Amino acid sequence: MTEPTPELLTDILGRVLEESAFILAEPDQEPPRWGGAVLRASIAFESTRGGTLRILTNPQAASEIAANMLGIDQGEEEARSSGRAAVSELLNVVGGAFLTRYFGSAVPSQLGLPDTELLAAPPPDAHRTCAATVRLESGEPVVLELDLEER
Amino acid sequence: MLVVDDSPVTRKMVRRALGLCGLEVAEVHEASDGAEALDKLGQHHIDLVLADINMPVMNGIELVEHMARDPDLCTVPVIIVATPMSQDRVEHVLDKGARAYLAKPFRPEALRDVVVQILGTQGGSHD
Amino acid sequence: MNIVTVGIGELQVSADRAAVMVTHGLGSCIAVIAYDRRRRIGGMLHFQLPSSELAPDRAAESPGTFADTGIPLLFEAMYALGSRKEDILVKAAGGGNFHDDNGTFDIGRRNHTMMRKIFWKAQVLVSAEDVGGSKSRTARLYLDTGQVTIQSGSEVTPL
Repeated sequence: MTEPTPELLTDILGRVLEESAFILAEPDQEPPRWGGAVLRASIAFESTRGGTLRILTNPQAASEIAANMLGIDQGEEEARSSGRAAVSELLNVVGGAFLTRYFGSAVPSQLGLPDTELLAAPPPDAHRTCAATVRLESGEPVVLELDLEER
Repeated sequence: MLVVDDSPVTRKMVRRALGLCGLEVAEVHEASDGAEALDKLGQHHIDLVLADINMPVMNGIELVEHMARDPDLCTVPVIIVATPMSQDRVEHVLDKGARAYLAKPFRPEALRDVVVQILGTQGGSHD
Repeated sequence: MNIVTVGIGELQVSADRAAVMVTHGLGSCIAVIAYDRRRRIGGMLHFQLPSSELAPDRAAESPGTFADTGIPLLFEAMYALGSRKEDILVKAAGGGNFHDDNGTFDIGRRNHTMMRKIFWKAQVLVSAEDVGGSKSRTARLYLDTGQVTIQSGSEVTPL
């Protein structure tokens, strides 16, 4: 099994955003410069190797994702209040897609429950195996990080 | 109908998709985990359950197992709507009694197809 | 049989039960085919691009060119003939992956995603679709029965 790549994460995140939120995200080689609050969602997994996946984004992007998932306008209060839950569910679906893509569907795998927190300031860089950044149609960033246990 | 998922966003999406099925849906109840789902099943007549697997308190597999052992609930069909993870997990929950498995992210047409297949084109409203 | 041809970037509606609505040359474009089963009113849109956001002047001139302006207009035109949303069945065809004039390879996929987004937001189910791949398609709607066929080359299949 080869090591995971940023391209794999970009593809998985992009496909899930397209299928679940009708968003055609564009890959961005540059990591975002966070300007304020950051939403961070984490989910642990177990397979032939264990690890953690994380999504980092901002509340505006979270509202955009929620609005698209729910089929409502981004300006609606429900979109804003559902942002955190939308990012949490996005990570849940990304997690499943990653397990089947990277380890294969024939390998028993397990996902934990997503844990999402709103941080007042950008978090310090966490250890990660690789990461990918995409931009939503609004230009807002979504980062997917993978922290895979050493062999 | 009963939608069981710890994600409020997913519950709303499933509820919205159920509204597009072309069936007369009398009422859609919600639960955020398997234990709450069993409470709702005890309080209301439910024709169909749509449940996630990964949930706190009681997960979807445990819910299916509970329902299969209960003479009052064993005939209520369960459709699993969950992120697939691995084939053995899909097979396991179907073995335990779930009638179908719909992978997330689901398309509303796919949900419609599996709901209609399970409930049939029988007339009358469904809960 | 009265043939109602829908050109690229156009939409048409009809309540003529003898009509057959047809649109040709569906490459990356998508045909949205709408049929009111109760009143036998049909509508067809042949859109080329997903969003009018960057081309409002063009959208004003030719709203059928874009999914986000064409689809609502198609439904409004059907309502104007007496149709109701709950009676309309929607199908779609096209969205193939070709290089377009700008060299963009995935316009078909973008069109398809935008169409699905619009219908999800409008709470309309796409009951059947024949999309993707790299074949060119012709879509036909027979207003007497509501039957939809998709032709690619010499092969004609019901949708």
